[in-house]
Amino acid sequence: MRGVQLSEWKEQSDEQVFEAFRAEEPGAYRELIERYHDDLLRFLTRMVGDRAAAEDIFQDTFLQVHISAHSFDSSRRFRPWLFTIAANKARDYLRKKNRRKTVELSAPIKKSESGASFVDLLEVDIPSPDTAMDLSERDEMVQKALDQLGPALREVLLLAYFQRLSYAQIAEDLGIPLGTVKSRMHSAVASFARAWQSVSKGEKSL
Amino acid sequence: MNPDDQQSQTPSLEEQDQQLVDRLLEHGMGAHEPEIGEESRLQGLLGLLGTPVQGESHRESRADMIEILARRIQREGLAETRLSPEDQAACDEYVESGYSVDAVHDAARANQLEALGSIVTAGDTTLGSREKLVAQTLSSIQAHIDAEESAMKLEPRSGFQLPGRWADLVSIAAMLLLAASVIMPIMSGMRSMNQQGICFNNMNQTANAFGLYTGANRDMLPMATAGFGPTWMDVGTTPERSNSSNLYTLVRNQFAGLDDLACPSNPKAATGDADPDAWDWNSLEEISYSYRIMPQGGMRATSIDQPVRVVLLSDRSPVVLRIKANQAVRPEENSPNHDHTGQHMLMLDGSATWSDSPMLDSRDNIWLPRPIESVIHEARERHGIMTGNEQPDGPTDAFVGP
Repeated sequence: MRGVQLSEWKEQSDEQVFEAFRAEEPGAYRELIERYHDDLLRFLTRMVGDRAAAEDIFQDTFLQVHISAHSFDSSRRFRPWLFTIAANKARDYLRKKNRRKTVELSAPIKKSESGASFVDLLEVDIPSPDTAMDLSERDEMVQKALDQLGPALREVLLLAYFQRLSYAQIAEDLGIPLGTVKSRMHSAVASFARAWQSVSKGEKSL
Repeated sequence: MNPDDQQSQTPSLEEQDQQLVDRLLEHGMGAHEPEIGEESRLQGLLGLLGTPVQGESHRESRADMIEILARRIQREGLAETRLSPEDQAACDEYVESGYSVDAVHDAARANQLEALGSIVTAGDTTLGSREKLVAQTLSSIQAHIDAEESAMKLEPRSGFQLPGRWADLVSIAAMLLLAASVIMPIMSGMRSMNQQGICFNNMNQTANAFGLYTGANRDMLPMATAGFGPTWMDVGTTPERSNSSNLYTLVRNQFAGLDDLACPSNPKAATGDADPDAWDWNSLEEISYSYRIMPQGGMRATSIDQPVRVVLLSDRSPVVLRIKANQAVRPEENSPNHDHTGQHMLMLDGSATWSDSPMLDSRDNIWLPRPIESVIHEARERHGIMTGNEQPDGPTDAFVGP
C-alpha cells in the first residue's frame, strides 16, 4: 500500500503533495520532508555552519510549515516559501548565537590597508571540488570558505544559488533594498571565489 | 583592547567612495546622476544607508557619514573584495535570466559563476541518518499536535447537534439566569445587579447567536480569518489577525447585534447599528467580552460531554487590558466589567455561569494559556513570596525595601 502511494507521490509536484497534505492524506507530509531532506539540510548547514543546529532548524522549519499550512497561497510555489521560512529560522538562530558576541561586534574594525580590491573571475582559478577529495573533506572545505563571508553575504549567496531567486525576490524575502542585494551578491561571489581558491589550495585564510 | 588602539583603527572609505559621498552631498543625495561605471558603487552606498536617501541623512556631516558607511561596509564584509565591473555585469545577467549560463553574453564568466554555485550547493548529506531526521521531524510535529489537542481538550470526532442541543442549553442558561439572579450578592447594589443581569442576558443572546452560526457553518465556531499570528490582541488595527474580529463575525453576519455584545458596565462599549463594512471593533476599549482564542484552522463546536468544559466567551479579560496599557499583570484578577467582583462565562456547551474567580475547577486560568500558567506556578513554588530575608543579587541588582 505504502509502495503504491510513494510511487504516486513521485509524479506529483510539490504543490500537489502539499495540497494532499492539507487534505489530510496520509504520507503526504512525510513525502515533502523526504523530498527536501537533502537540499534544505545542505542549505541550512551552509547557512549556520553546524550540522546539529541545521538539523534542529530543519525540524523547526517543517513544524512551522505544518502550523502555517493554512496560510499558504496554493497559487504560489512551495519551494521558495519553505526556504524563506528556513532562512528566517536560520537567521534567528545566528542572531541568538551571536548575541553573546556583541562586545566583539562593537569592537574596532581593522583598517583596510589596501582599500577594496577587485576580483576578476576569469583570473581566479576555481578548483573543481570533486578532484581527489572525499565527501566530508570537501564539505568541510566549502564550509570553511563560506565561514569567511559574513552572515549577510552568506545568506544572499545561499538564497541565490539554492533557490535561484531574482534580485527582486531576494530583496523582498530579506526586506532590504534591491541595490543592497546586488552589492551583497557581487561581494559574496567575489569573496567566496577568493575564499574557495584559498581554502582549496590549503592556505590558512585570506 | 587598549582604547588608543580603538582610536587609531577607525575605518575609512576607499578614496573613490569618499569622492562619491562628497558628490552625493553636494548634489543633495537623490538628485545625483551617477557617472559611467559608478552605478554599482552608488547603489552599494545607498543600499548600505538603508533606504534611498532623499533628504534626511544629508544633515549628517561628511565625516560622520563616511565613518558610518565604512563601518557598515566592514561589518558586512564588503570592503575587501568586489567583483570586477565585467563580472558584476555577468553576475546580474546570470541572476536575472534565472541562472542560465546561455543567457549571459560572456560565457567564460558565466561558467565561473555556475561553477561557484555548484560548489556552494554541493554537500554531503549522507552524514547522519536521513530516516532518523525525517522520523524526528514527524514526531516533533506530532508532539506539537498532541500538546495543542490536550490544551484544547477537544475531540473533533463528535459533531455538534445544534438546534435541539442549543435550545436545551439556552433553557438551562435561562434557569441559571433565574438562579443567578436569586443568589447574586445584594451588597453589589441594585445598579450593579441590573448591569449583571443585562450582561447575563447578553451571554444568553450570544449563546443563541453561536448556535445559529454554527448550525449554518458546519459546526465551525465564528472565525473571520484562516488563522492569526502573535498579534491577536491588536484590535481594529490589524483586524485580519485579531481574535476580536473572529467574534465580530457574529455581528458582521447579523447573527448578533452590537448591543448583544455590549456590557452596560463598559462605558466605551460600541452599541447601535453596526457599520456593514466593519470587520472588527475599532479599539480594545469598545469590546466587552473576550472570546476563546481560536486555534489555527478554527474550532468545531463539540458535544456537551467534554472532560473539561471549554469557556467560549467571558467578560473582558483584565490581563489583555493591562498588557496593552503596559501595566503589571495580575493573573487572578477578575474582569473590570463588574467592578472586579467576578465574571460571566459562556461555556462551549451553551451554559452561562457567573464565577468570582478566573480559575476554573481544573485550576485553569481563563485569561492565560497553559505554558504561562505553568511558569507562574513554578516560580511561586520555587520562590514563594518574599520573607524579608532576601539579598540583592550583587551590586548591580536594583532592589529597594521599606
